Amino acid sequence: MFDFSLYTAGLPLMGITTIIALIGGTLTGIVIGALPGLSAMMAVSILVPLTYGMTAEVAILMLLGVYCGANYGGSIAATLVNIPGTPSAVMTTLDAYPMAKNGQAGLAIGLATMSSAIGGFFSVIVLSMLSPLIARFALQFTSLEKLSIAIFGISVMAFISKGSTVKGLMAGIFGLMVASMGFDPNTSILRFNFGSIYLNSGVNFTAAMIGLFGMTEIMLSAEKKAKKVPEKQIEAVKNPFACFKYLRLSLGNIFRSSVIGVIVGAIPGAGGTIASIISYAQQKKISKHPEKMGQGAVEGIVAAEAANNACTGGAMTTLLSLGIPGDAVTGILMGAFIIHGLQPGPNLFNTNYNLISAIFIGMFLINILILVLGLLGAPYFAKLLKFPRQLLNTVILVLCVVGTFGVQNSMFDVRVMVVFAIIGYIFTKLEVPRAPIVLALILGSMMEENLRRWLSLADGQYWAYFMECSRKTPIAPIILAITIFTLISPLFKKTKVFSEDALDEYEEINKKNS
Amino acid sequence: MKDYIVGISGLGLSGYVFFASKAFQRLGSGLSEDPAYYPRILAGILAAMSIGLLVGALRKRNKIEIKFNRALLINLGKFLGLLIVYILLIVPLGFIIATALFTFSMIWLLGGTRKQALVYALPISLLTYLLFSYLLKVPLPKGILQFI
Repeated sequence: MFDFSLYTAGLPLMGITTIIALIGGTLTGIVIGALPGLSAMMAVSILVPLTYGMTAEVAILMLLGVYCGANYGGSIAATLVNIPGTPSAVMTTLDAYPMAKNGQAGLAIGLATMSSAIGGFFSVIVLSMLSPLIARFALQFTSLEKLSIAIFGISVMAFISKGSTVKGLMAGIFGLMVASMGFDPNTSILRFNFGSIYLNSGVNFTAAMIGLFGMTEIMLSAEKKAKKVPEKQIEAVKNPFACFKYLRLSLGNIFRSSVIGVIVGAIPGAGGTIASIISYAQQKKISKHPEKMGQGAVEGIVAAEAANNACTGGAMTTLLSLGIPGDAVTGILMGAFIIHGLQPGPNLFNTNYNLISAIFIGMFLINILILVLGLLGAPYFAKLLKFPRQLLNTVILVLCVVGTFGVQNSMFDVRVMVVFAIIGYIFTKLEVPRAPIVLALILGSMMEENLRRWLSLADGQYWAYFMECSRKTPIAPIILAITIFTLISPLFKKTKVFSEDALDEYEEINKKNS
Repeated sequence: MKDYIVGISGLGLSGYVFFASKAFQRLGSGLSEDPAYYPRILAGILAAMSIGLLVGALRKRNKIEIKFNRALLINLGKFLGLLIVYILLIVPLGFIIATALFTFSMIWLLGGTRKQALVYALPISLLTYLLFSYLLKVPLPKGILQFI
């Protein structure tokens, strides 16, 4: 008989506080996602410190709400002002904005909401079915497999990020170096503490995240002049419920796009942006009217939004079952798990069975909430876009400072945060991607520990031991081979199809629209 | 130009890591007991990539030109200066006063009107203080307002 306890064990954890946190988190996520310039990454990193006083399940579910909500909320700004509210809504702008210009902003937001919710829903089903199986398999992983997965994750992240892969890898190495600061895990010898006792246990992860993704974003957005919001469209968000007329027509599309979303989400390093690019391109290939895509086509919105929200379940699958974040936001989420004393990975299914179950149930509810809040709240979320930019940025700056201080009541962490904000700013100006740093910071200590455990097991006979390990299970060499293949593939093919570079092509369509 | 800066900084960083790790005490003969081993691998890979990047830039004959947008730099300096002064003032002045002063000047600096800055500065500061010290139990510095 099939054991359903994994899907019900979490029910006792879903108390009133959890539900409130879930609703609050999802709503905050949608709002932050809807505001251009505030990404899911920023939302989760700034909100992590707010969860310190909460119990683990409340904190994790709230942050999941923020993550999924922000992923969806990006479509609102995409529709109304032609700016993706979060990076993953880039493809949504292509059709949603032209549709809004035709006076159908309500329909466009409705379609985005419907496909986001169904895509997210689908991905949770996959998450809850697959992750226990993968976790059981992953329990057998030894240090060599864990090491290779970490290397794979950082390399893929570097490959996917916009711009040069070499620079992405360099950012990853930089993150790994930062992660190696403080006491050495094997011998407890101090490394790179620059004579400061505050750095003995290394750089605080949350402080670095808030700096890199909270404050850096504000520094970058303060440089640009805010785009004037066209008043007319914002008033015209009417009747988002009209989207259900297209539900039956779009089911196939939603299903296809969701599958793409889940798979891309599950690849460590790849996230919503890539998923929506691929699914949009796919839809364009099989569409009966490909020429209409980019001019306000229903199928364009559906393909982009279903895929980018389906990513959430895929990314969580890798996080929960392998302990490797599927994208940058889940990397920050992984930091939140660790802060609450939980180590994501296959063991979590044994030690925190109820929490895993609560995560499944919570994510189901989050996607229902997205549907309800999105459809009912669309006209109000739209009004948010009028909120003065400078006020918002100032509030976020203050939150970055207090949030970082709150991590361990330390002004030193605040200084670390500012240093990382400046690093993030300089990196962006030099076209070095920031995302690989997150993954490297979070995976750094695990990578070093596993490398050195393996080295001590090998006892000097490194090659022979590697061959012996590979004969037992060929997983590690296969992963390493895929990593190398990914990294050298640009040498053979000129365009990186599976990379954010593909966006350039679409940005031109976008320019024409606006 | 950008690739040159990134490449040279990368080389510098890897050189630093390599030489700084010489000082780490080694406890045993195996590689796993050597605290310098892992940082040095990283330094090696970073150095190789930096050289690769530099060679690539040289072959493409990237021009070395330095472009500075003066207005942007001045604004960035003001922004960071304000932020640093704020962080230094939080402990002596207390969170509420320091934050009110900071929000006032930052709203202004980011292009808000003086009226906006005046109206919003204190409420933002008070609300954050209440949220963090009462709801989230973070003991924010009180500074000269010790009596609250």
